[in-house]
Amino acid sequence: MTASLHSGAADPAPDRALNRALGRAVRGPGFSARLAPRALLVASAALAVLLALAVASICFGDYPLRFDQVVDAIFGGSGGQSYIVQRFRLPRAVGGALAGALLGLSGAVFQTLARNVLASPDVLGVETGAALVTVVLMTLGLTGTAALTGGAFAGAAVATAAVYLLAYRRGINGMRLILVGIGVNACVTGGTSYVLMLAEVHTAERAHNWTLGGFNGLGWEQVAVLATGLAVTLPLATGLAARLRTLSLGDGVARALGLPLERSRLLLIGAGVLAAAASVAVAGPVAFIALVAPQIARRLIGRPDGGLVTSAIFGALLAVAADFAGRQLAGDAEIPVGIVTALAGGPWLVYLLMKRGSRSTNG
Amino acid sequence: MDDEALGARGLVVGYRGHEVIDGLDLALMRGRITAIIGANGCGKSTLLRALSRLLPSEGTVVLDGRDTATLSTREIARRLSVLPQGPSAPEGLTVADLVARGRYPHQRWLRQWSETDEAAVREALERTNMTAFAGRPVDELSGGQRQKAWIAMALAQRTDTVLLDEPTTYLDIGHQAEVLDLLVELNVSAGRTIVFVLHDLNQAARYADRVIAMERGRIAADGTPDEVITPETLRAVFDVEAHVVADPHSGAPLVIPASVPLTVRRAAPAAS
Repeated sequence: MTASLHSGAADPAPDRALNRALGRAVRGPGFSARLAPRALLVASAALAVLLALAVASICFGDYPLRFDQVVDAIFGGSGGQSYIVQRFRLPRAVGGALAGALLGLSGAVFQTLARNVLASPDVLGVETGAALVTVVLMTLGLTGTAALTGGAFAGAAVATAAVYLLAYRRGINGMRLILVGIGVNACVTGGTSYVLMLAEVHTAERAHNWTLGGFNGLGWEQVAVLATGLAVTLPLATGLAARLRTLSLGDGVARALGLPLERSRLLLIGAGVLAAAASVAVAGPVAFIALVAPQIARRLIGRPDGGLVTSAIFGALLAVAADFAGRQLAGDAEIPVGIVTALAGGPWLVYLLMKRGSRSTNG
Repeated sequence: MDDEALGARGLVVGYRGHEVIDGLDLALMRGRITAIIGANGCGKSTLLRALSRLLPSEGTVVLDGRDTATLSTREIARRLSVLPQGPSAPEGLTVADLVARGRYPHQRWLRQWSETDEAAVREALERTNMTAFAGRPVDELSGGQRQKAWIAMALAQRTDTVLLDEPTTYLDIGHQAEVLDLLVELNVSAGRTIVFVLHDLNQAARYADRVIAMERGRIAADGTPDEVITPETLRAVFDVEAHVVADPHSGAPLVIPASVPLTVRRAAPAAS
């Protein structure tokens, strides 16, 4: 035993372990919260990496810019270089980060709610539902931002509602939700392909490009939609975090703790759908970010709690990184971010399934 | 001491038309330990869940002298804690985080971790002897420790009445005794009213003041362990022939099923 500066207790070690497990308390008049120092550390580090990546993605491109030129442009510089930054690269980086943050947040909500790491808006039909409606609208010639955003929301909401209702049997079971989701997704994706087949060739190509998911061409108008989405869903979801934590103990325990079950679940699903739909409506379906970001957050924090904001930050980080990689790796051609995340995320999913398959799965 | 903590008047619970419980009256006294026993499917878990408002029911449930229909689910959860059967924690959730969730009914949007919350969690960990495991993930604990972690969560609710649905099922004999001793300790030292559904008659006889035997949604027998655990009741409720002797350790009734002993069985074919 090493000597301890702790004077009062005879054996301070268990005390210290307990205090660490309980976390830090922040209290003021009429206000109290429990903070996990490690979660704060992880979130701050991720935020720093995100900023660095965003700046790097603005610097590099067909026309490379120096760091000071970028900073100058961001803070109101003028001239050709500033025009490139202000008009193209900055909205692309900011929009990409926001789209990723929305996906990370949505994934964290759904994974905690379903108590299954495979539950994400991709699986629950949010993205395919939005894609079907968007492709139909594009085929009909309705390509305004308002029409496409509204349509994507509607498609996401209807597809998720269908999955949820079909999977509901005196409560929700995570594994059943995922299996029903796979089925509904297959049907909806089939519908999207059919519409693409019927569409006139130029429209079809445009719609097809959208379904690949990409940040190319994101402007401030799109950034505004994404920012509004995050400004609504992040406070909503974090405000419901205590309910989400309670729900993750299972329906019986949650009800025993006095939680209004169905209302809480509906609000949380609403927040999750809204977040993913906002992202998909603007940037197209970018696969795997919603699945992977919350898992990275949880793994680094080391506990399943407190992941909403951190998951959003990791979603942003992954989106910006994938977009950056897609632009740098293929030389002249640009790989859409959705393809990069699919290529990188696929192996992760296989790894996850193999790891879970070797243990007993807990639906 | 003998006032009612929890009671039911004309309780009716049913799934789709056929009633599991049809018009049941019951008064559970404050500061007592009550065990509910009965064969599989007799409605004992249903009764517990209806009393704790986990299941919708008709009739009246009275908690601390008030009709629970007039209380919000949150108010009920501040007076009554329930541990459902076989709960499971999310992967990686620590004991401390699980127990902290027991404070949910006391928390407000801006008051998530008051000094009372923290004190209640520390006390619950202490009482269940789980302080040393506070930082460990629940899913990595042994069955008995896991169950104690869940009981600690229910204790952190700081309710006068604690309901538990088969708290010892799936535990080995050592952990069964530990969990039941813990519940008795809570009753004796903290005055909590305890109601549990038990599968094991000998545990019910030994650890409860009062035993309620249920059969097809009705109360078939109700009284002290000596009054209820009798060969007659066992025959009526469980359809089993059994001897009841006094437990040499505690004097409580001890059930010994009267099946033919193995040695007698082995000897029988030779005789024929």
